[in-house]
Amino acid sequence: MQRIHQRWFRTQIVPQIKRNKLPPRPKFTPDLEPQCVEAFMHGGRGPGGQKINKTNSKVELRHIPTGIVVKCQETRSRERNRQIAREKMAYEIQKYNNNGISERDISLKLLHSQNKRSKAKKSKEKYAKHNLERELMKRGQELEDMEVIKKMASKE
Amino acid sequence: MPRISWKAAFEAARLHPCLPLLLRACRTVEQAQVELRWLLKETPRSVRQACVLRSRHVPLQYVIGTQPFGCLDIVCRRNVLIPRWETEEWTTELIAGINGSVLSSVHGGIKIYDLCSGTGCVPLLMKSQLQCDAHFTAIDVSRHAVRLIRLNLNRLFSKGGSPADFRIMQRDILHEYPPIMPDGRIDIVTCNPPYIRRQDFVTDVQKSVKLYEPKLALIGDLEFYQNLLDHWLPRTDSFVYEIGNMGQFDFISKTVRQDPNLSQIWNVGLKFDSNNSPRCVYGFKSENTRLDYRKIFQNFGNIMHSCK
Repeated sequence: MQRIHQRWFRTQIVPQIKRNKLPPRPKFTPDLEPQCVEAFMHGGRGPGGQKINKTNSKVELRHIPTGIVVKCQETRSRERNRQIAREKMAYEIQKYNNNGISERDISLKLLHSQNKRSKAKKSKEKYAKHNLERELMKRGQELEDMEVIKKMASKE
Repeated sequence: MPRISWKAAFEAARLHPCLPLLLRACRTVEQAQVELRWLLKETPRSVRQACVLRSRHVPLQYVIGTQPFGCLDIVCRRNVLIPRWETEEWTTELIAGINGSVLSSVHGGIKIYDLCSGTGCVPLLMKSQLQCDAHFTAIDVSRHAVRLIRLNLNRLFSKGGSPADFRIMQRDILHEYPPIMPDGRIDIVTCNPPYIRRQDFVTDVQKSVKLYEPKLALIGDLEFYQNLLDHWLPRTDSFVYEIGNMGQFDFISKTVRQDPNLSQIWNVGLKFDSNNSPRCVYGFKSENTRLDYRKIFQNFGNIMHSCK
């Protein structure tokens, strides 16, 4: 559901983007798996096994039909890095098929600017309200002062 | 090893005040940044303290306290060898082989022995991933290792007390007399024995390994492979042993080939790791076995000696 805002001076439809209703993240489907080549980077040659304690867990994923390469070294676990690399790859493939445009990215950008705008609006309203209150208080005080002065003048 | 240039040190210091400390162990700024990211996320102590430990070449796994192994997080402590990615690799492939060919209804479950267990990573990963019933026995000489295996087991599978299908034994498989006698036939023996030759220890081994990891789990040559031939071959249907160099593989394959009895019943194969180094020697019988080993080890490595 998209909420529709109508303004009195012109009929423009402003679709509102909601955090929980963004276009979904692209999924890495099982039929993409045979199109990809996976390589584990352990950093060069030389001795291995018990001799070296490598913490390098980098995973490189290459999609052959498009030639997209994705690397991942976010975590220490190779299993987890493989999953993350696949998520990244799905995103890149979707972007490639869509002429470099990702709908989710655009929506996120719009959401961001929308949030920014509403924040600015809220703060503006808040300041206006506070200013009004201050003004009223000032005026009230002035009236009080005047009354006091009048009383004093009448006594004399 | 080349010195760290002062330029690199300054560049690191600009990025994070603790980064130059990591440079001593990591050598490059990029690698140090990756490690710092992990330390910030996972270290139980303060980041500065952790970086100071790393600058003294304490292994990252001892600083953080765990090492991912497959889908598990294995606790690591001093005096016990840290699981390596090579071991993780062959264990995952072995599990995939078993899951792809062994039916879940094997009579009585399969029996797996893991020798020189260390943290117990190999049987623990198998326990969590195998789809069929299995009984595990983990054996190690070191009391530190045995304690750590128990800790890891309880941490990972503690629901309803300690599991009954996992035995832990503190034994010396080389020198103990009488030797360990398994009840009935073993299906698979796995082992990651110490395999660095004494002459290679000084030259080839990384500083942090040399300083902080137990020599008991590192230095050795052929004794465990000799023990495999003498003691375990008559009692098992298949084995997977990690190796450090081709000499250890040649020793096994030559002995099997030259023995008139063994060469008739055993197939011996060699597995390379993804860095193209020889990493595993494995073997299986092809007759009178409960499991279809040819299928289990189909994609595991290359068979170098095939029985008739």
